[in-house]
Order: sequence, then structure tokens, then C-alpha cells
Amino acid sequence: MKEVELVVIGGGAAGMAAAVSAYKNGVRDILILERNSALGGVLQQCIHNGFGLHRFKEDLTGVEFAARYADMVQELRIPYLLNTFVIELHSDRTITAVSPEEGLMEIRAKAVVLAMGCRERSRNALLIPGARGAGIMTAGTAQRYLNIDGYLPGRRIVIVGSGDIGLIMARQFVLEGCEVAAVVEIMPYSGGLPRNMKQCIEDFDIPVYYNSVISEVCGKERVSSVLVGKVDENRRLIPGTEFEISCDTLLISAGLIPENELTESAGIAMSRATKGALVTEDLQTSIPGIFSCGNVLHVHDLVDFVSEEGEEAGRNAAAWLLAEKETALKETASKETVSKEAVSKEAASKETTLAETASKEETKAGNIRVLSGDGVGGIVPQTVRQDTPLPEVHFMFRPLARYRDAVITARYRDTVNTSGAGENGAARTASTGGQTGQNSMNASGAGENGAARTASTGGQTGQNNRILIRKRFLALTPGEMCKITIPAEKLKNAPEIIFDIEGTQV
Amino acid sequence: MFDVIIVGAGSVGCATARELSRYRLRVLVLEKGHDLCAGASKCNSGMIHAGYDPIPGTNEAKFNAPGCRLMYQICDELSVPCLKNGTTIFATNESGMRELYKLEGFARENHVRAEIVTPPSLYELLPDIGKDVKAVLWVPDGGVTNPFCVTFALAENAWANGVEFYKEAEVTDIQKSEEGFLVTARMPASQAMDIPGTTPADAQPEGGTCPVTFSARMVINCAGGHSDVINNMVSEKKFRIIPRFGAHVVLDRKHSDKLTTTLMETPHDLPGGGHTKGMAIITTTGGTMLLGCDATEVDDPDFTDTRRESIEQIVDYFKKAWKDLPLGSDGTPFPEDEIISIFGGCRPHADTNDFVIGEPDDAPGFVNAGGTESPAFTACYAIAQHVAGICIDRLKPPVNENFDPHRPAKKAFRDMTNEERRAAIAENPDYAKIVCRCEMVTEAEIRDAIRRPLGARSISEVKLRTRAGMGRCQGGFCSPRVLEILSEELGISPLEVTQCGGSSRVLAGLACNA
Amino acid sequence: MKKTDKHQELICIICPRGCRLTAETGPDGKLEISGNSCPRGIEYARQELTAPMRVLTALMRLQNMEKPVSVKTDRPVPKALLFDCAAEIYRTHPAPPVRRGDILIRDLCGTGCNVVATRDAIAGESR
Repeated sequence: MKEVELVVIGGGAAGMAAAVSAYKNGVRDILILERNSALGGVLQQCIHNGFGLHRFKEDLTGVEFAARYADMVQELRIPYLLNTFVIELHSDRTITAVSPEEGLMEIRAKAVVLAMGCRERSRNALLIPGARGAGIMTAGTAQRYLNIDGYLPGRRIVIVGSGDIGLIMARQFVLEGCEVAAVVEIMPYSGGLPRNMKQCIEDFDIPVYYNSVISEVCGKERVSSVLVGKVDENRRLIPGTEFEISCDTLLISAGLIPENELTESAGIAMSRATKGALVTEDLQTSIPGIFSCGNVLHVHDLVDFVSEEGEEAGRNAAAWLLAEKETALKETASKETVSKEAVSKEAASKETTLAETASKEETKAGNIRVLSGDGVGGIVPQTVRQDTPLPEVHFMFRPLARYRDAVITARYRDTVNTSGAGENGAARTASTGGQTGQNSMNASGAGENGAARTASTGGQTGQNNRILIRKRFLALTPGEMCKITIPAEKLKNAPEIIFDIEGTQV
Repeated sequence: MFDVIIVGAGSVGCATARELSRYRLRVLVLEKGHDLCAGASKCNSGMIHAGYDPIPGTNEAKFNAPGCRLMYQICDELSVPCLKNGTTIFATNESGMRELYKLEGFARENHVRAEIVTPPSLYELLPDIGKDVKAVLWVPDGGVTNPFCVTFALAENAWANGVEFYKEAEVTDIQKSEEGFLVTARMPASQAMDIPGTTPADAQPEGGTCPVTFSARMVINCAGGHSDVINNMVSEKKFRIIPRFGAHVVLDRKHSDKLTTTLMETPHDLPGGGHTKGMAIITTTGGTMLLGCDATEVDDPDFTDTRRESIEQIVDYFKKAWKDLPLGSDGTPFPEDEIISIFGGCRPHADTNDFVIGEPDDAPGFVNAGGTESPAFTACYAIAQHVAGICIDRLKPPVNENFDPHRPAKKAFRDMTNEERRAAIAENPDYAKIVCRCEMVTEAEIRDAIRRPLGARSISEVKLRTRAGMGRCQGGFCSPRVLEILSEELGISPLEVTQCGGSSRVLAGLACNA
Repeated sequence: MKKTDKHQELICIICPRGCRLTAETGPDGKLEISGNSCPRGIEYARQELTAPMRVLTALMRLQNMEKPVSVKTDRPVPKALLFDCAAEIYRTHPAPPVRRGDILIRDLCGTGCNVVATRDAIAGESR
């Protein structure tokens, strides 16, 4: 079995960034495993611009953004394997992968960064009824046919959902001489970035139908038209509102889902809200030494934030590896004084794992749960360690509705640990739920959906809210991730952190 | 001159072909679809019904239980995965209980093992069953297999033993002749030109198809949803197919290990009423779970659109019933976000309310195996033995000494141990190229599915044979690669590759050519 | 975009933040812009209200190569010329090899902008 200090699964924006930053933080024995024939992941098919404004202060295309990182990987001579598919990830951080060059390989990693990205929600997952012939595909698949292979998947297109990939593809289809007949969005607002609505849809006068769904796909061997109907406030079709739009292609751009099958198979605790792993503020999952970042952790809107998170994960993995080494040295030293006998390498590493687990268990009591309050969904990280070595903690989440003149607050209720009844009931429920789980991260997992919101209501009626941060925003939409950074020392005494959004819903 | 022409290459047609290949007969199978397994067999859940529920005395009862035993046998002979995990019919109320007792009676008459189990023994049988479940009918011989694999395996084995097949050959006319029958099929001119006796003059400009007439001593009607049309061409004893549409919802395999048996509620009071065997949850041999199905009468037996009403009925039912099932009895809500697919198709229900089996009085030599609604898939080999038997009695052919009952089949990469995987890759590096991530299907397997006899020629035909594209992303990642491989293997332009044959081309043209 | 004589709302497309800008024409004819988070917003609004510009990204066919290469304009081109510029890109078929950053068309449609490759395309190399 091959031994590697840090294995990065996925060579897209998150994985490359993680590898580069781990290298810069002292890790030399790194291996990136990438299933495609080139580094870059989905960026290889993103020929449009708008990338890199944060990270490189430059307007790059996705392809160029990927190349910047791929260049860094190459300059630093970080090893990577292409056409390599990970088929198994185990809780002991062993990995099984296959590639035509290497065959089936087993790798023991000291640390792992998960950076597998996400997949698109399919037509069938959306339960769109009707014909099942050709001409129905996700926007990303169409993007691949067009931008990698050079083929047009259709000539007259209807797009379901207003996710960014669909919007970008709408513009490209129009510039390719195709017609985009409609964008059909179930919500009353766009799911994509406002700038993409402007420069991809409004610029080309593409009709957008809000509060609408495809009620039926028509056609036999290929799509010939779709029926579009209005939905009520429960998002159910209102019968009689349907009208027909002729088209030969239906593109689906209605959401992305983190690809966490490997994560789950390793037994890592998952978040129901983000569909990614539950992580501490250093992006570490419930299995020590396994980190998660990018779209596999939670779906981002911007690659810049993906690579930023990747860099964070790489840095934290490097720090963790260093700490492990020190612990191992101490362990070995103390062992030697006791028994003088040489301890086998394997036994030592086992001891280290146990020690690490034990020390993690101890600190769990001091973990700070991060809870979603009003208007907040899918928060990452779900737990902050009270003794975090990081100078500041980044919190990312999505607004659950559209707001104007909104204020995001982070607060805690300082009575939470002392009083047992009343307003704190909900929070207690959350933590009790967690005790049935395997570790403290399950606690926030159970709490993050319903209980946290109840907790926040309780909190507002209580008098002891301590505000950690308040930030004002002109507008917030579910299509845009919020990122809030709080200095770690402000969090030291917080028993919990609750995020809320207040503002005018539009 | 053929000895036997079989009309239809669904499970019943392919089973019949395979059974006849035990003898030295010239057998031809004509299939109107672009692929085999294109009708009801394609939309089937793969459940192996033990035979506890057909009304005693009917053809359905006569062929079901023997068919169930034969299904396990052919899965074994042809290396098709199957699972004998029992069928459990549960009741939550008094009327459900009455239904259980009725089914128990049927089972007894049909000679099928079945037993009513009530608490506390119920909780030993199914520890996680919901507390509202009053009793179950436990049918140990029920199971599940993959209906596509079964059909393809039967066809391949028949082919290997000498049976001929034409796809895209729709039978348009059958005439009685001195020697037996003249069967006319319309097929693509390109295919027809290879058949001796066909001239380019026969080709119709429209659609480039050609009528080709074959003569045969006997004809077996295995045309499923169109078996009425075929029968009515030959016999005055007419019947009518009433297509009954049913849909299935597919759940990701995340929690399927909790489902140790197929569970279904007694059909009473359920959507679809007595026309379905009940709403079932089935763990497939691929690990995903099927929920369904409903029953709605439609006009077109080839109707496969997913109906909004069907989907809503199934989802609404399972939202309510989830608490009774092992996956929801702990309070877990129905995982709507783990739905990965929906599909549907029609059961060929005959207006005689039974399978239509045997020779009509007015057409000796013409053998029906029609009206093959559920449980015909389970019963397919029993039906095949019966109708093949009629031919054998009539034609008295010698035995085919070269008949090989087995089919060489490699284990799916996903089901291999790592040692087996290592060996497979060493032999063929294409085994290390994972094309379908969700179902872990390799390039080697996809190329094999295309190269095999009667192999895949479209994206969905690759899917049925390999599971590529059947998983949670529904082909989002793999279909561009599958398209490329199809184009290479078939020697056609990527622009000509179809989703499912005919005019279902995936791509519309070249980009940046505007 | 809501339009009245004096008051206009627009979405800044300079960065993903997508600021909602408001442009008011004062009595003196002077344009007042608000809602921007950075100075680039003001610049964008002035440009957008007078002569809107967009970066164009597209695919370009190379000689004797099966797959197209991705390209972009090195600066924004007038929005009104997007289709003309795209057509010119589709008409042009340079010979490989092409390297990321290579200029493939100079002075696209008289805009003064160049079309540059955004990835390498080398005959015989697949992606």
C-alpha cells in the first residue's frame, strides 16, 4: 500500500487550491487524484468570463482560472494522477482508486482533502412529467457538449430553472444562432446571480416565466414542445394555466447537489441542510484528518470562493499534519521511556489516531454550535472549536428569501448554559438529539434545521442576546451566498452562535 | 422457410426463442422496436412474483408459480443477478386483513408457500416494520431480478444457440399459406437489403423502410401490447388489449440495506385498486429502490410518458405509508430528495382478463402468448415452455445437441472484489476507465454491451445493459462519453448517435458554424 | 431595468456582487450614480447608459482539428456588435497549434479589440 501524507480527491478549483496551499504551508508529500484527463474540473467547460475578480483581481474565463491553478500545481511539482477514479474511501483514510496507467491502487493517507465537487439536479429528480425521448439534459451536460466537444445539443431551447449555468448557456446559445424560447423558474425570483440575469437574459430579451413549472414535456422520440403552467404558493401547478412553447431541447438548471457518496461511505457525518459533510471551523469533518472544501462541502456561486475555501482546507490540513507529527513524536518518546522497546511504526500511528480521537472527544465539550436563525439556511461550519488556532472564522450560508435593506447578525444567548427551561428548551432538544449521534457534530446536524430556528425565536424573546456582529446589506437573495468573517477571539466565550437575517422580504 | 417465427422480443418472446433453441429448428424473432426488450419488459419492476395472488384456475395462476421457479433457474444458468428476498404484503386495517386472508387462500390453491404473520413473531421477521401494521402475508419464494438483463440474456443465449433476430422489423401482415404462414415485416431498407430476395425497388422512399415477407410453418405471438393486433390478423377469435399504464419512482440506494424484502400493502382502497398488486417498495438487484406502481387505462400500449397524476399518486401514497415501512418507522420522513428517476409503461391487459395462451381453433399453427400483463414477466419461461411445447409436438424436431444453456457473462465491475477488479484491469485497461460515476460502470463494460450479439446501439440501450446513466445524476456526466464510445464502436458520426433509436438524435449540429 | 426620464436602475455586472445602481439625471444634465460599492460601479453605469460594452467569449474552429478552442475578446466590445463579432470569430479558422493568450484575430470588427485563445489547442492532444 502506497503511503502519502496528504491526498486531495478532486483536481478542480477546490482541490488544486487545497494542494497548492498545503504545499505552501510545508506539506511536501501530496497527491491529487483527478478523474478527468486534465486538471480543472468543471472549469474546463466554463469558457465564459467573470472568474478570478476576487482571487486574482482580474477578469478571467473559467478555463483561464483553472489554468492559473494548474500552473501553480505544476510549478510546485505537486504530483497528480489524471484519469484516476476513487472507488473507495475508508474511515482510516485509506483510499482505493483505479486508473488505466496505475491499475487498482490502494493509498494510505495521513490526511485527506475532499474536493469532489457537485452534480446537477436531473429532470427526473425534479419530477418533470411527460415524454422521455431525446433533447432533455442538464445545462452542464449541454455546456460540455458545446464547449468541450463542439456540438450544439439543440436549436430552440427552453430552460427550466434560473441557475447560473442555465443563464450562461442561454447567452451562449443565442450567440451560436439558436433561439432560447423561455426560462421557466418555479420561484418568484431568479436562482442565479443578478449580473447573469442582466448580461445573459435581459441583454437578449429572453422571456422569463416566474412562479412557473413545466407541467409536461411533449414529443415522441425528441422533445417537440413543453407545457408551462403557473404554481400556487405551495409550488403546486394551478390547473388551467398551462400554455405551450415549442422547442426541441429542454435544459435543466435547477440546482446543484454535492457529490458526497464517497464521504458518506467513509461514515462521515453529513448535514441535511448543505448535503455536505458537517465540519468544524477548520473544515475538518467528523473523521479527524479528513477535510472538505468547495462544492462538495456546500454549493458555492463563485469559483473564487471555492478556491479560497480550498486554500483554507489545504492550510488547515497542513497544520493538522504538523500537530499530528508533534503528538506522534511525544508519544514515541514517552513510550520509549516506559518500555525502551522499539515501537513498530504501525503501532505508533494507531496510538496517534487513538490519542487524537481522545483529545477531540475532550474538546467537544467546548465546541460552539453554529445555528441557523431567521432567514438563514445551510450554514458552514456547523461547529467552532472554542480553542481554535485560527485567527478568524468564516461563516457562509444562504438567505432563505429575498431581502432589501437587510441586516445580518451573529449573536448568542449567554443564558444558554445556565437556565434549563423555557426559552432554551429548543436548544436543549437540539443537543439531546446530538447525544444519540456518534459525536458532537451530529448535534449541530440535528439542530441545524428546525431546532435552531425555534431556538432563535426563543432567543429573541429572551433578554440576554449578545451581538457578535451586525452587517448591513442593500439586498440579499438565495442565489447569492453570504460570507461573514468574525475574529476568533470574539467567539471565545460564546456558547453558541446564531445567525439571523432581518429586513424587508421582497 | 422458417420453422417458427416469434413476433416480439420481450421477455416472453426471448424466453420462447431460447426454449426452442434446444431443438434443431430454424427460428426467427421479429421485433418492431429499435432494441429488444422495448415494450412492457422494459418498464417492468423485475419483481419475481411467487404466484400467491392470481385467481386460482386462470392462466395467470397456472403459469405464475412454475414461472417463478424457472426464473431463478434461468438467472442461474445465464448469470443474471437475482435476489430471493421474499414478498411481504402488509395490512394496517380490517379490510386489509380480510384481503390477506383471501390471498392466503389463493396461495394455498395455487400451491404457493405463504404464511400470515402477526406480532410478536412479525417483529422477529421484520424488526423495523411500522407499529400500525397488523399482520403480513409472508411469501418466502418472491424475489427480484433485472428484467432487462433477463431478456437480453435469454436473447443472447437463443442467438448463440442458432436463433435469428431482426430488430426494427414491425409485423404488418400475416397470411395463412399452404406451408403455414407468410409474415410480412416492415424494416429499414439498409437491413432489408441484406435479406435474400429483397430488391432496392421494394424500398419505400418515406422513412427508407421496406416490406419483407418471410414464410414459416408456425408463428408464435409474443407481441405483448400489440398481441391483439397480431392475433386479429390471423384469427376470428379476436381479443383486445387494454393498456394499463403504471409508473415507478426510483429512490437512490442510500438506505436500501434497511429493506430486506419487497413490501407492499394489500391492494384494497389503494389508487389503482384491484388492477395493481398493490403499492410496492422493491430493492432492485442494482441496489436502488422502486416505488410503485399505479394503474391507469390509456389508449396507446407503447405509452411511456411519465404522467403527473401517477407520480403524485405514488409520492403521496409513500409519504403517508412511510411510517409503516422499515425505512420510516423510526420517524424518518419520506426522502423526496433521494428520488433519482421516474419511469412508466403499459401492462398489456387483455379484455379476456387473463393471459391469452395457445392456438385459436381457427388458426392451427398460430400460437398465442399474448395479453401478457403482470405476472407474465415472472411467468415468461413457463409460458415459453408451454408454447414451445405446442411447436415441438407439431414439428417433432430433433434435439439440438450443441445447445449450451449457459451464457458467458462477466461480473459487473461494481460487484467485483478489489482483487477481481485488479485482474480485470490487468487484462483490459478499459476496466479502469469509469464512465458512469454513479453506478461505477467502466468503458470496458460499455464497449462490451455494444459489441455483444444483439448489442446496444443507442444511449438508452447502453443504459439498460450496463446501468450507465441509471444512477443519481441520470446520465448528466456519462452520456457525452457514452455517445463518443457509441460513435466509435458503431462507426458513425457523433451527430448520428441517438438517445433511443429512430429520430431521437442527441445532438443537433456543429457549434460555431453559424 | 426600470426606465423613466430622470431615474434609471441598473445592475452592475463588473463583479459577481451585482450592485443595484441608481442613476439620476440632475436638472443640470449631470448623472448622479448611487448604490455602487466601489468606483467601478460609477464607471460601469456611465458606460452602460451611453454605450454598453461586453466581453465576448466564444468557441473558434481551428484548421484540421475536431474540437474547437475557447476564445475571448481582450477587452469589452460594444454590446451592439456582439453578433457581428461572434460571426467573425466563427468565420475565422486559424491553424494549430494555438497557445493560451495567442492573439487569433486583431482589431475584431473594427472595435480595436483582439480575440485571444483562452486555452492551448495542439493537434493530436486531447483534453
